[in-house]
Amino acid sequence: MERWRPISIGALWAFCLFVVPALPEYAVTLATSIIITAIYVWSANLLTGYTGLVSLGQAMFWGSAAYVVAILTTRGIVTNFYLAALLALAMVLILSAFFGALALKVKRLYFMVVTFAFGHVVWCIAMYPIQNITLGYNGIRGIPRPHLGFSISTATTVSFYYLVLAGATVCFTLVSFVIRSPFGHAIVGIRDNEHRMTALGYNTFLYKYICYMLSAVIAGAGGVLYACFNGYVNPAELHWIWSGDALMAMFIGGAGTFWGPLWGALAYVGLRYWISSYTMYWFGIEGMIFILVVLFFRGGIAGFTGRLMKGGATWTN
Amino acid sequence: MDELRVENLSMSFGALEVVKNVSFTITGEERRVVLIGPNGAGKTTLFNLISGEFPPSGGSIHLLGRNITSTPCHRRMHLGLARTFQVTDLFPYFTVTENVLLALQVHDRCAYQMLRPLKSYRRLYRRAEELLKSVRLYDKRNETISTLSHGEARLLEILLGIAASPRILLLDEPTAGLTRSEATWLATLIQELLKDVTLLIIEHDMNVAFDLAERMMVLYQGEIIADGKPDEIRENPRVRDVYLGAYRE
Repeated sequence: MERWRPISIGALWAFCLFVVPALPEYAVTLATSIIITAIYVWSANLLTGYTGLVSLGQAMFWGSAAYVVAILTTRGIVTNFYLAALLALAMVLILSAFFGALALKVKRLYFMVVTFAFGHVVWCIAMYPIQNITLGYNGIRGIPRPHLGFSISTATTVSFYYLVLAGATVCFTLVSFVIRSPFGHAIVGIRDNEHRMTALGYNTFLYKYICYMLSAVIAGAGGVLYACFNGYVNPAELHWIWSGDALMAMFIGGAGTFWGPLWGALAYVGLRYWISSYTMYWFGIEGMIFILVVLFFRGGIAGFTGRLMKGGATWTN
Repeated sequence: MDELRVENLSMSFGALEVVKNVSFTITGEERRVVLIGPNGAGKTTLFNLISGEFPPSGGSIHLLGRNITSTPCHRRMHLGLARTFQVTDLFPYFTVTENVLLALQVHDRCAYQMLRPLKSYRRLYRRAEELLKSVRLYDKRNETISTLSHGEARLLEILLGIAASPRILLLDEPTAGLTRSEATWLATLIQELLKDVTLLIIEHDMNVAFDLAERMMVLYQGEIIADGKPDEIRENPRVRDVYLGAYRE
């Protein structure tokens, strides 16, 4: 399994780089949506799959970053995309530093409840007290596609797809480095046996805190790209249901696995796109698929394919 | 300098006082101190207090001359203290080598390294291999914990404790669940491997306890009722009455 990884990454990247842009426009748009979702699911996977912290507040970071970019660019406060993205990620970092310090005081189920509560607070703030800025339920429209400088435009579907692919490559590489590093080894140890990690001398709070902020920044990067992709953000991007969606996609793909988020995003966005063209009850079918995966495909699609290829599921696959 | 000094240490769970004003000092001249006592005497709670898992209700703990009473558990491990657990407490999804690496990397400067693969730290792998060879687990290095026998898992448990070369090691029933011959072998291994480490050992196997001990303490209902050389403990009528019973050797 391990020896096939560079080949499969290379093949996937070549496919994304050369084959996808040649597909019809709707397919490129769908691929863009899948990749952005994969970034978001990667963030959830780092936090939940690898560190064992089940959060229902991940949408808070995705949505906050999306809103910051939306507000800055539509009001003409910042026209430089890089600066707007940087400010959005800085905002997410500050938010996660604040909420993480509080949420990580508790563990397991309580952590999930606290993150849910924080996410809901941020959603409520966006909905009501600052609705003159966020425009409440209506959301913010007209977010422009970014200008990257050097006369590089992302106005076309394909050019924006390349921007998203570049962003995903950065996030993917970062996550990939982290989970193979001593830090990654430690966070998996914390997930499996936090009590023993403390007895070995690990400051488990600090590890989880760093991981929480890192996953928030990755979710924020997804939010930035999403805002520019969709051209529109609304409070649903901050809602806990979207946090739950990240968990659902992660479990379908394979929690704590290397390829899981990509499989999860592919299945989640692809199925939603495909099923919704047949029935308006796609939510229910999606839910049933989730139940089937959890019951019969331990380790999700990545775990299943891993076992098929005889590698078995390990902490890095 | 005293290696470990415990002064009037107490711990209560509600109205139940589990550890009552326990005081003792372990100097560098005593390498193996064995703590015995009946079930429920408070031995593991005492270990949990020393290692920092529970905050004490009263008293103080000094490690190598430094007051560590309010030092967090993980910090104590960096000050030269380590412990093992009564119930084997390993990382089931990791291989044997990966378990040892976890114990090693936390004391290495790479502990928070995020951008360099763990596999590139050859010094950690070399040290892990040395440790595994020293307890004859090298052949199992690539196996996961679930494939180990109970005895091998106990060995690995101890190995995680000594990986960081601590000054003081708290061994909580190292021979728990082992056969007599395995327990004797492990006791010999402990004596050979841990010559330079001060050991505070909880042990229920009296053969092992008397073999290992340079000094013994007896804990009964949260209090130390006897403290001395093994022969003194063996002859102590109160210890015989409450714990040793008919034990003779």
